[in-house]
Amino acid sequence: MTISQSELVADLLHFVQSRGARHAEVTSHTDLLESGLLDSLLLMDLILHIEEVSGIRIEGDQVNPSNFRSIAAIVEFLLKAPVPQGSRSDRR
Amino acid sequence: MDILLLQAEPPMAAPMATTHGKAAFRASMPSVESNLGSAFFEIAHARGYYPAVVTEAGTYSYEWLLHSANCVRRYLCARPGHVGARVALQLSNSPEYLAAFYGALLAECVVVPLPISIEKPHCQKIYELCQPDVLISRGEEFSPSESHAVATLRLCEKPEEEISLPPLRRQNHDLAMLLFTSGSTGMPKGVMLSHRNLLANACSILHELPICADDRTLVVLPFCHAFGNSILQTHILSGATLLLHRSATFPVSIMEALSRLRATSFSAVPEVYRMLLKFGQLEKWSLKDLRYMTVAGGELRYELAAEIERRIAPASFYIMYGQSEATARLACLPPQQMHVRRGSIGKAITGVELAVMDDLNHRLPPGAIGMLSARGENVMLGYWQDPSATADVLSADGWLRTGDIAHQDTDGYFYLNGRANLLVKVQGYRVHPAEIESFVETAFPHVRAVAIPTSRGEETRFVLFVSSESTELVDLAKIRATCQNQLAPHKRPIHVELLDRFPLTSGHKVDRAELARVAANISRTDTSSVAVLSAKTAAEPISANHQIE
Repeated sequence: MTISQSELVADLLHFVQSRGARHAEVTSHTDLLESGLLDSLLLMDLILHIEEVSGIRIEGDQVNPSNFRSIAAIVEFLLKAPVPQGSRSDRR
Repeated sequence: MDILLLQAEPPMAAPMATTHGKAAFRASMPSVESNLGSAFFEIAHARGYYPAVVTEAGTYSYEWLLHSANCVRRYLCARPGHVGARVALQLSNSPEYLAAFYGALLAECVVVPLPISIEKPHCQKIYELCQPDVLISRGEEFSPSESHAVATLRLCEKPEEEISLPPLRRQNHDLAMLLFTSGSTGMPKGVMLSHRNLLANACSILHELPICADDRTLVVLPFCHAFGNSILQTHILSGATLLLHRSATFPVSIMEALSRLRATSFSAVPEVYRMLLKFGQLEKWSLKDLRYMTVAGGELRYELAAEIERRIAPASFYIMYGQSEATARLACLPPQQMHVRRGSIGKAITGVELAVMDDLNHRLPPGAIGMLSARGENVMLGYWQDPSATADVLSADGWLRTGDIAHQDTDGYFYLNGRANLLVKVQGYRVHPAEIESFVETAFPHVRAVAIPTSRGEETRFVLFVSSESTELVDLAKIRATCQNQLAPHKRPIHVELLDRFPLTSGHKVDRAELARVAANISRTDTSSVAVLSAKTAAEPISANHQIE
């Protein structure tokens, strides 16, 4: 990973907070699903953004409600689950 | 305008399919000579306890739906001058939406469905245009204002006396629905759909797709969208079941819902299929009941369509094409033709004529590129109170100019070649850049704005270019915040860029092609950081003031 954990949290916070009035109040522990802030448009943009800033490729089984429930949860799964090489059968 | 809030109580017990259910029932094709309200009434009456809608809260039967629609009808009929009055719906996909929709038709009103995420000024413009008498919403989706009278109607399961079909004076050529969409100038236009339009398109689709009474279709498309509305009408008129999935956010939750709810069919826009292919892990799920999927509302590359087809086999994949002005759908590519006619949107569906025409509305031969035009009983009556915009797209002999540039092969299969205007599709929604531009220019009167669609991965997003029209400084952060706070999500620019002046074409118009090249550079770089830009046109250099926050 080319970016530190705190940098990644700050970067994702900035990315999500700039999405709208309701998003501006988001903290790293805000439940993005319960609050209805994460729609499919934001999810896809978020994944693309994470892949760009961190160099990590996100796999199909990682895109689930528990990994994307909050910014803290996203960063946690990114740090915990380094992408094994050669397991990209889901990606097109 | 008065407000009616609907509240569907959770059903007491899941109604079981009775003797009406399963293979025993077969809906007859509705007559285009009838009225959509009465066609609904007959089906709902015949289906009784059979499930019409399944949500996380439970299963709502056709009887519940009929009873609830009748409650809405009674409320509306008690109002003076209700025949032909506009009834706006601001409801997410829910049992309440269906009750409101058919209740308004049974009360002989005109339904005006609006998206939940609609911007306030845009919504206000629509209200001014069509002057709704009543707005129907739900408590959790409505923020009350003091100027409106609010009534609440609880839709509960209660044994009701036999409901009989009220006498309906509205004829099949009368207006049933106003579907607001982006016109070719970016102003909202109300597509006027008659009972006949809606019934005719439903019949055409029922000819092309194997929809039957025991179908259970998973719905992620909003009913207020032409595509979503056509799924609603075709399935209710078949006596089938709608499985409402509240969140289409996670590809895995769509797959999980398809599997757990034993869905037999699924329809979505290309964005959703691209998401499913990337992150849905399609092969992991057992989709034993799935018979087919359909895509419409935008272009899905052949390779991706073929990949979906391969992964859902033995279920079939139908590629369809349509637009709101034609009620919903116009063409269908049968699954067996997908690999033979790569990239085709298919043939005209039953009851629809499609042709490629020149500027004088003369038919062009196969191979020639021109305006894709459509004729049929599904073609709208026109745009609401806008005869000149109607005349621009609808000829006296009933041909609708779709705005899509296309050609056909010698066997009558059509292929899209582009757009004749600036409209683009984002998540199945038609967006005109002028909607974003006029929004920004209204909020910031000294700013000139140009919105340019650009590709971000496989998706389409907007980059906004702004330039000062006066000596005042441009507050980029404020423009960005205003867009993010007030524009609907699919219209929000991913990047705002300040230019000293816009590049111009030789005709002194803003050179959108040049800006598209600049936008492509921007969207390739990280959009949250400072964009590095050195765009030049052949005619004149443009300088970009890099944004600093």
